[in-house]
Amino acid sequence: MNSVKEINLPKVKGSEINELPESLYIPPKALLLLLDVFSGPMDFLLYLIQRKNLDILEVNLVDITDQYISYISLMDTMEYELAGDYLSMAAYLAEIKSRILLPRDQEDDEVDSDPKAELIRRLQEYQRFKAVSLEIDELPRVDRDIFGASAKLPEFELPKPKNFYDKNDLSFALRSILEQLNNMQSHKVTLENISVESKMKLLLKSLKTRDFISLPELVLKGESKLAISVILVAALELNRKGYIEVVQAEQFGEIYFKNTEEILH
Amino acid sequence: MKNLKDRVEAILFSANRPLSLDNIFDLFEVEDEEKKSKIISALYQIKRDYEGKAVELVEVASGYRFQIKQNFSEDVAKLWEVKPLKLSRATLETISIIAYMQPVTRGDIEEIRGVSVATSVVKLLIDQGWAKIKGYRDVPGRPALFITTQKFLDDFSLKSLNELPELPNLPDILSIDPELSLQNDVDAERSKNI
Repeated sequence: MNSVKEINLPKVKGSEINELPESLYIPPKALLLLLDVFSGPMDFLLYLIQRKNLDILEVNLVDITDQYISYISLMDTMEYELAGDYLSMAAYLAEIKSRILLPRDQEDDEVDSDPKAELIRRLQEYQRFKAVSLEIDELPRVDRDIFGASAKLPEFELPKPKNFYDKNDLSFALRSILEQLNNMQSHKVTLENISVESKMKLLLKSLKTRDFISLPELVLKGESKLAISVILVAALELNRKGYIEVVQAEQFGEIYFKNTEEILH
Repeated sequence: MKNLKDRVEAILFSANRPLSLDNIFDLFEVEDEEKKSKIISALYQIKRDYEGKAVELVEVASGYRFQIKQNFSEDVAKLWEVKPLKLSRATLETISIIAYMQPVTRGDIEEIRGVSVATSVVKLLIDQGWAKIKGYRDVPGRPALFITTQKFLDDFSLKSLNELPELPNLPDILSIDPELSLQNDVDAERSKNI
């Protein structure tokens, strides 16, 4: 905020004006100052209030709103994008001002939250964080006020890796490669010929003599994983067509296949 | 037999970062309480040894570090080619709000500051390792929640968040008499117009 005071004083008829005029004083390049000096519209609003040594609670919002809007109106030709938040605050202030000036409907009064109290609350909330942020800036900070102290490490002489190999290692390596070659041989893979139909027939045949049969019981000794999968597919297929039912007594319990009720009766 | 105090001093000087007690215990593979207390008293001795010197041993959030005493920081700063990072008011206010109110969303910060949080500010805080995202608030849009880090405490010479400057109290809301002040404003405005 000091830099506001540090700007060159304007001269009128050769003599410096070293006091701000009573009425609103708008320094040249006001917007640039605004964006540079103040951290946001709340900060700027606080400045307008505190400039007159006023407590936030005593502020005349109508005056402050007029001043604020006069500053903001200078932005006509300047970058709106940068100043969007300032415009939004101006709209907020204008709204409060209009509510203050308009005669208030007694009935509405009870329901409406007081816009001025709300603004004051926000200003107070902002003010305490602003104050504390300046204190945090004063804390001794690494690489600004505090520099680490360290000692340069001596250059370590790392032992060079030695050559530990001799000619026996070579022959050993050769021998192990040759041994590996012996382990390599071709395998013959035969294709199992199991049809879903044959397993379906087997399942139905088994169910003629028994009421229930489980999956493990259907698997013949020495049958492959493929065969087991085919049996499962066969059971599912029969279930889909309505020939058998799948039952399970408890969770994670054994799954049994049985003839459907209709066929039994 | 190497002196324990000298060994501790040696590693603290070589670490280039704060070392916690646990770091030191691990380095020296110390497990029993008796040896641990010896290391702690060694740290106090080292601290005393450096009194009246240009270097001091201090404790920050992450542990113990050797640093140049602050009186000499101007001299040391001249050695640096790069000027120390000057934090903007926006950055300071943002990190302050995060520090006191954490975890906070961008929206929370904007609510207090009345201005949108610039991406550059968030980027700076994250790049410096002072703030990080810790989870997302369970509201529409799931905004990121920011908290401060241990490095923030280290870099601002703090041992814990409790050492932050005291946040001024919010004046009692009951002391505001909005009806009266509103009336004053209107009266003032009318008297001007007369």
